[in-house]
Amino acid sequence: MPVTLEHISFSYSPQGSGTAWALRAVNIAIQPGEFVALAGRAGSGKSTLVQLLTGLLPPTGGRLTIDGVDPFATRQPHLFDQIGLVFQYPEHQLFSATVYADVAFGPRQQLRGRAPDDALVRQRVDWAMSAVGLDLTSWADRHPLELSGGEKRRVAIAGVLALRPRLLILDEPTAGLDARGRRTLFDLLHRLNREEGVTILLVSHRPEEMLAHASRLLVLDAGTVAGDGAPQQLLADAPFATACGLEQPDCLRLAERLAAEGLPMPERPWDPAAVAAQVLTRCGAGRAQP
Amino acid sequence: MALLGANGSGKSTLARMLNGLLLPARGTVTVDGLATSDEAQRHQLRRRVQMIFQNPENQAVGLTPAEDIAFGLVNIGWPRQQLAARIDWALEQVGLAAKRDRPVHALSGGEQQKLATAACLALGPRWLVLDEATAMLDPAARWQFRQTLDTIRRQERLGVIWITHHLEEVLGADRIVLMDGGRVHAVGRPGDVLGQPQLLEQCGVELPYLPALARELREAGLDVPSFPTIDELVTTLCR
Ligand SMILES: Nc1ncnc2c1ncn2[C@@H]1O[C@H](COP(=O)(O)OP(=O)(O)OP(=O)(O)O)[C@@H](O)[C@H]1O
Ligand SMILES: Nc1ncnc2c1ncn2[C@@H]1O[C@H](COP(=O)(O)OP(=O)(O)O)[C@@H](O)[C@H]1O
Ligand SMILES: [Mg+2]
Ligand SMILES: [Mg+2]
Repeated sequence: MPVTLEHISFSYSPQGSGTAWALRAVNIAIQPGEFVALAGRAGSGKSTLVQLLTGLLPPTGGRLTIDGVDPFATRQPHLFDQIGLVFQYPEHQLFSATVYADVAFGPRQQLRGRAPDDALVRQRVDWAMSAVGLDLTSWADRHPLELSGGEKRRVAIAGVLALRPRLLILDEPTAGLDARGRRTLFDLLHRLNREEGVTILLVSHRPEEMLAHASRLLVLDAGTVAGDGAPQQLLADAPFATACGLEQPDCLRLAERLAAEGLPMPERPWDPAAVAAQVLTRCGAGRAQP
Repeated sequence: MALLGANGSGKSTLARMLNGLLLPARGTVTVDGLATSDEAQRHQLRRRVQMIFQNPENQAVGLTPAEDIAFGLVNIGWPRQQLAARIDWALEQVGLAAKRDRPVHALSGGEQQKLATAACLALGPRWLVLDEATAMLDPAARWQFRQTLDTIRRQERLGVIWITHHLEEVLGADRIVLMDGGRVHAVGRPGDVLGQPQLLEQCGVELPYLPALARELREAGLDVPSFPTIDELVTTLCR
């Protein structure tokens, strides 16, 4: 399911009043099965873009297509059902009285009209909860607002997963997650991406995350696409990264310094264990020479 | 003091006990000699211990920074004729003086967190508790906020309790408290607590990149500091 944005612009102020464009002339095509990171400083337009992609905001100008069809022009809002969004603030997404009801809400809506199959809903909820590392039996009856920050985020993610979207968009999903939670989430995203062909769009502030997980990086700056390419290439360009408010990750700064000393760029520069292994192999080889 | 631990380990619960938002089922919490359970002193306590939370968007109550700070001051009965001076002072502290009368919703996330800080500072606290206050900020804003806080902490001699999942923010803390399953698992200087890989693993806490790499190298017998700079790593590796 390809999704394209053609010359998209968006303004929060009513047409004509003021010229504050949150997005300007944005052209992006996302192909099925891609794993894309979306970055840029605060206010650059990331959340706006995400809301356009999920049909929550209509573009002010330009054309959006899903599978080649414009859902607005053809009045087919259901096309957006294939796109799931995990909001930036998980507590905005939780509203039911129990964790179970919250995660079941989406699948119930989706399966409505067809056989109202509680077993099927339960199966979806069960799968989604275990996918985010929460055991259904001990969490089902908890109140979603009486959870810790990281627990809320996991439940919010489960609620979206339960819809089985073809394009999964996550707006800064790792904020507030502990180390284990981040690992579980990325393992899950890669599994969905690889095994089920789910397209992933991940809004992130963490360059190490972009490097380690995404095959493509989109960088927004003041509402326009400032960069679109391989994460390592874009992030290694220090002037570009700084201009776009991205942090040059320590791993690339180190790799660059080592390269200047004539050492080869490590294969997985973001992974400390891999870098150490490569460096140590080379040291060993160096010592063995006369 | 940094408060670290996995999701659900009890950090926010502990934080909310410090100003009496939550009361302990057993035991007592005292702050500067005030027991949090003492209702007569609760008012005093709430002023002394101020809290800042994760979501920058829903902490302001006023439409402009000036209004927002005024709200808290009026609440504690600050003299009317001294309001403006106090507001200006607080905004000055966090570097937001220029945005005094802008709409709050037009502030960036980092600026909104600075405003939350200014609103707390105006009330004259002795303690600031920051519960993942940087979680929603981009890297530049995160460092700026961290630095602003550090300056204020020294100038105002505040005690700061900093809750985070980003260890790189707390390598310079005086003390680290590591929580696990509702218990305090370890207390000590960063070098001592963070130098224990099994302990961190057990508590679901992960080292930042450079210390993590240093740990791998040290385990292989290389002579690298536990918390190296890039320069130190380059020197060691190119020797
Ligand atoms: N309002 C509440 N009512 C009932 N239980 C709660 C409430 N808030 C948190 N809990 C539970 O108390 C425990 C500790 O939660 P707390 O919010 O203190 O964790 P935390 O360390 O701040 O986690 P995080 O890193 O996810 O923010 C968790 O098991 C959580 O589910
Ligand atoms: N609800 C809104 N009303 C008016 N302006 C908004 C709204 N949301 C965002 N903006 C503005 O649109 C621009 C892009 O914001 P946003 O998409 O939230 O950026 P990001 O997610 O990259 O931080 C910013 O200038 C921001 O101030
Ligand atoms: Mg955003
Ligand atoms: Mg918490």
